[in-house]
Amino acid sequence: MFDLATMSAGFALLLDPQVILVIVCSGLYGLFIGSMPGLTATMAVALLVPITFYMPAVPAVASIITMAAMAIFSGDIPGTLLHIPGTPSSAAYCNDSYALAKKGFAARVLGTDLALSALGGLFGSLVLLTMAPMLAEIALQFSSFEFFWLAVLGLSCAVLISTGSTVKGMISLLIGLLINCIGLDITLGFPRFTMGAVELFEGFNFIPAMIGMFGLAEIFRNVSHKQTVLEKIAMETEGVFSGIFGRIRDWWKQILRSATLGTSIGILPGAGGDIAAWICYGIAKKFSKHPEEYGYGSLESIANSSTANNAAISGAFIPAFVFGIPGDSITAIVIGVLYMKGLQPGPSMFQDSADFLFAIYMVFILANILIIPLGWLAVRLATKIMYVPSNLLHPIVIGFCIVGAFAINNINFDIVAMLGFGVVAYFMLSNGIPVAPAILGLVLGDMLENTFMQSMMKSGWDLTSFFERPISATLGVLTILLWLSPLIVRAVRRAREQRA
Amino acid sequence: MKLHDGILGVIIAILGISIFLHSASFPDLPDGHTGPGLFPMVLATLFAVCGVILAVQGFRQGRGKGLLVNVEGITLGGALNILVVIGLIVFYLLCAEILGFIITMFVVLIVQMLMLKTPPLRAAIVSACATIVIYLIFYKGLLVPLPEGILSF
Repeated sequence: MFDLATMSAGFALLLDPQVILVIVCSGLYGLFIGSMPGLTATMAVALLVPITFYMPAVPAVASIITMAAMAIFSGDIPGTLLHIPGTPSSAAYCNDSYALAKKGFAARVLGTDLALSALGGLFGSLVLLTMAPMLAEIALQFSSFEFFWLAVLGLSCAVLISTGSTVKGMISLLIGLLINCIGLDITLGFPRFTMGAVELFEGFNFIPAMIGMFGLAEIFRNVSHKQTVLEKIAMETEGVFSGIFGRIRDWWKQILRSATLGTSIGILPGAGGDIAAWICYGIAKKFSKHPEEYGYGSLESIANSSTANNAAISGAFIPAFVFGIPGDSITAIVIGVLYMKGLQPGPSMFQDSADFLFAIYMVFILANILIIPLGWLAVRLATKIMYVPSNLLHPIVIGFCIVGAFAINNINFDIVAMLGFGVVAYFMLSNGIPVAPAILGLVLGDMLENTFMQSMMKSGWDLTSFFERPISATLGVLTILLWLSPLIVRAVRRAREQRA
Repeated sequence: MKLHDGILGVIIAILGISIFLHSASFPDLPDGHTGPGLFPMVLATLFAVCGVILAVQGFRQGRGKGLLVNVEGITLGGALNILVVIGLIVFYLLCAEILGFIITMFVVLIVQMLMLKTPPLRAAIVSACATIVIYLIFYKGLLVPLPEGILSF
């Protein structure tokens, strides 16, 4: 997989004291943002990107990986202590953790969370480590036909898995793809929808768009609701890890199941930690010996879902690195960062930048081990850090949004773009249109159009050529089946009802 | 702000059709095939179709309910707060070059904090500190040329 030279080069990239410092700092930052109700892990990443813009590739990506893993864990802290999930990924088992905390078991809940977040994350990382190079080997033979189908497959997944109605998911995706059309087109260099603005020739810059959609829009949502004053509660957070090994031994089978499932859900484009947590919660309940406890304080449910959401975060990087197709909104941002650093995510990265990849794999392992001491610290300090009042925090986030959008190209136009994207995303969110498919549309739009146009010119506008190569045909059939799946499910259900 | 699904669908359908018409005017490829306009046209068609589906679903389900803007879940004060935040970002865009980053950002922060009912003294102190921290990180640390304005040093 890796030869010695690559490994030592990779270690050299990683063991730079600056990189280690960046990893620790971004870990603490992730823990903080994740534990603030209303600030999500994706928002944390979007606000961090302007700073990573000024770093070399390894620390830039390392900081995002560490931060996301930490934020997903620390979202459980306010979920447990205040019944407000810190990030959407903690929502699935929030009732259980809070019910247990009220009975005085807060420490045990958070200890289980912490240990299994680390285990889940490590499992996902190991899958990434072994699967990604093998997939890349196959993907090296892909041409524009296969990549076109992969892009379509990824975008279709994002629509079908997205929360809420499929039509609204589709609308979101189309908004993203249409916005992506703005700028010079690739065939003739014709300026599309630019309204004469030179700034728009390259299209919208990705980072201000992210900051607007994930930072600004969330703040709009927060300030438009009544400000809740968090009541101070004293919780026992001593003895976090007591009895944890026994629990892992008792539950290892279901933990393994949730880790596998969580990683697989992470791999699917458009589905991230939150959906993984919900699905594994449901499945664990179905197979549990005590399903009646679920929702009213089941430690088992917490173990399953917190394994799953962290496993999904690592899993999402597999399609991102191998095909350049993001598995969730955080990896969508990572792909944007890689492009800015001049690295092209995709199979060729496994040949050209093997040392970079090796360093990144090690970061995954390191981050998921670091989560234990840093997370323990966060749990001990939890009752203090969570009371940073939102009426101070939200304005400061806006400050970072403005400067962050400006910092990429140093032009005010990007602040305007950020504001526009923020307003659009807020409008979408309040009308039940999910934002994640739009992000995928923005990231994959170029790949979709470029591969389609290239393929058409290669084949002289023969549409059947998309089904001529074996892998391309398989991917195509898979995509079509995926589109038809809601219809098939409905037909089967109807047939069953008629029989009954 | 939540719109009725039916109205939202109609708006999306109209948008889709106008994007389609605009894209149809894009030039063709030298070989006569549709080039730059192809993707926008396909996407706009799908967009319009989704809009129509949403409108039909919305009017079917929403029969008898109020048709127009449905503002549940958001108060007048909440909507005003959003407008203030937008206004402050516009203020930053217009004034940062003249007043400089430090003064403008301080105003942006303190106005929001007061809007969210922070005690004035606390708001002033936190705004000042946050402005300086952002300035140090981006201007001194990352060398982002934030506007200096009248306070150049």
